[in-house]
Amino acid sequence: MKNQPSRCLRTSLASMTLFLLMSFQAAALQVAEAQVTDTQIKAQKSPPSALQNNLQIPNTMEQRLAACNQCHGEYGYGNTTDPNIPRLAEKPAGYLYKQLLSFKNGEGRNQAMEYVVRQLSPAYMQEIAQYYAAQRIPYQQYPIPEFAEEVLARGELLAKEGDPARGVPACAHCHGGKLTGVKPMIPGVLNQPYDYMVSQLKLWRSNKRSTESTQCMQVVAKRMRKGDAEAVAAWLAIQPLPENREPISMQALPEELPGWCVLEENEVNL
Amino acid sequence: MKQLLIDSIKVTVVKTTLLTVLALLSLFAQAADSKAELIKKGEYLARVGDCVSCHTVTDKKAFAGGHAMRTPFGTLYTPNITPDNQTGIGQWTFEHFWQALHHGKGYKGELLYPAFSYTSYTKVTREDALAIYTYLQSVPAINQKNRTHNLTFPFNIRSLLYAWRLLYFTPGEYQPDNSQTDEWNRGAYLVEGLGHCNECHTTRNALGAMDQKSPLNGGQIPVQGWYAPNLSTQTGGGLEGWSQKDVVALLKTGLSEKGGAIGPMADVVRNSTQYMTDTDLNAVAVYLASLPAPAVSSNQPLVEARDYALGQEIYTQHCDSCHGQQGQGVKGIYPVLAGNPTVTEPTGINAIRSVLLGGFSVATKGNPEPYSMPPFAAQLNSKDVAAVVNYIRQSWGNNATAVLATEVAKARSLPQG
Repeated sequence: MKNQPSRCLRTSLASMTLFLLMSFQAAALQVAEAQVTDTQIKAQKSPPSALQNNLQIPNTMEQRLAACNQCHGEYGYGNTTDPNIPRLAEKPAGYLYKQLLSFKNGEGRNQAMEYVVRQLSPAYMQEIAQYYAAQRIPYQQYPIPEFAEEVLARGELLAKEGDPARGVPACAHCHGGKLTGVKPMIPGVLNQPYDYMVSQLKLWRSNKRSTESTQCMQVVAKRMRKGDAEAVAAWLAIQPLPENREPISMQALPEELPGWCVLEENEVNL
Repeated sequence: MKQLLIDSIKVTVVKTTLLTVLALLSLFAQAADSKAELIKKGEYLARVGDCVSCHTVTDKKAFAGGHAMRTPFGTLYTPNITPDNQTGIGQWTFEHFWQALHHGKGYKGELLYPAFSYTSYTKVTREDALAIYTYLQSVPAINQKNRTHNLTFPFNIRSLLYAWRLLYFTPGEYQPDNSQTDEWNRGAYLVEGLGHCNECHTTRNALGAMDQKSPLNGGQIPVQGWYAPNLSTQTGGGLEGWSQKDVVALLKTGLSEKGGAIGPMADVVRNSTQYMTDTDLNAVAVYLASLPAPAVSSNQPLVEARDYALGQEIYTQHCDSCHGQQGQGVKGIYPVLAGNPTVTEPTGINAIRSVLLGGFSVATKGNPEPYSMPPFAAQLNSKDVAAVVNYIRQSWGNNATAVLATEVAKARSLPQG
């Protein structure tokens, strides 16, 4: 019995020693680990050797256009989260080129775009426009705010018939019967993000959108009544796409463009 | 006999007339030829001087002016230099033009603001000035009124320029240094004169004057928010280790094996240097190679990045697929980061803005379909941008001072144009 406390003490001492040893070991390991990290970092801080120059960069437009795709999506698919950034894929090349040109000429409507296109040549901008015009990829549908039936009905009316009393032609009059655009200058308007469409109509109305290619939409947007921009943008944003969504040719347009609408196609070489 | 004489006189008269007409015609033709040649020479020199960058807003109206030059003293609007009689320089004689370029004085003798780089252009020879004048008189005249400058008090008082000029302006054509080669002298003439490289690459004082004792020692570009690096290729210089070939490649294509042109320098390559002859570009490189190493090393005392590990993580995630694990870049496609002066310049602003803005390498004849870098302004917060900038500024032999997240936040609101 007399031995018992001392045995107990010895056990405690032993376990304490063991514990301490283990702690030391762990600490030592940590130090070693830290040293390894340090050496690794130092190794990385040293200058590169020529042998490591082995990155494989695809020789494609998609790779070249990384700056565009960051916001406009792969292959110009559109931005999945920001509805203010337009889809580029399938828009007619002349239209896209004129947009690039207006950013390059610094009309002051979007600083980020102006910076990105600043160093491009006209020839390269034509090539980029053609690239996005040729991409055939699925559309995404963006949500629209909740609207009363009448609002959507007004939107449909504007798209299909226009508002002749106010001198507003139907969207279909110029953007193609199926609203999928007309080569080379008029973009399709179906399934574009609601926010983007509304903001563009408002920019037209306040003379802030580019007039590099045409002033037609300025006239149209100013003739529209209050609430029309939202109505037509909402209706267009949720329409299913026709099976053949190719932009049509100017000759295939059933009626002539309104007399006050002149498309400036010079400088477009597509 | 009489008839014969008359005939022979007739023939002689006709011959003489013909010869005179021919001689006159050839004189005219020669004059036209030499004028066409002068215009061609002037066009080239106007490219070297990059007149178009400041005197043009849109390509449709080349040289019509109206470009806003933001300075610490307010905004100046560049004038119309097309030969329009009412709004341009149609009424100017060559002497008016010389007065502007060489003496910094306008049509009526008024003192010009040195945002027009006459501090450099004064070195241009009269012969070259005449060529530029002749070329400018040959471009399409555009009727576009000049905008009034919007300068803050007291800088809107033009007469203050008398004092400024007394202190900082010495008119005088370039004087060749006979101890140097012709090539060196040509380079010096282009760099110090028409090329006006000093205007950005030399430190300026509070009154906007360049430090004339240390030309091309590197300088902050006021208001625009870019840093124009030191141009010495010697040890400690901003272009340390750049060969003549590297300098020529950057000026010609926008991209060299040691780095790429971004921001205002990309504009210079796009509008100016890509059009220069190889002879002139090599002369420029020879001159730059002779610039002394900076007295004080351009590398400021090192502040170690405390966010190095975070920076490394971000670099691995977003950057190394193009710039490489060792910052080695891809030749002719993506710029190297190790030793790149855009990365290591003293302020860090060029690297910060490159990460925020992304963008394309400049499209040139030598690199017609450049690759691009995504802008990260929306994707990365200022702390992350600072971390990745610090990582590239302190890896692979780079040894530049760390930047702060607050500097990144400030850079977000700088003008992008």
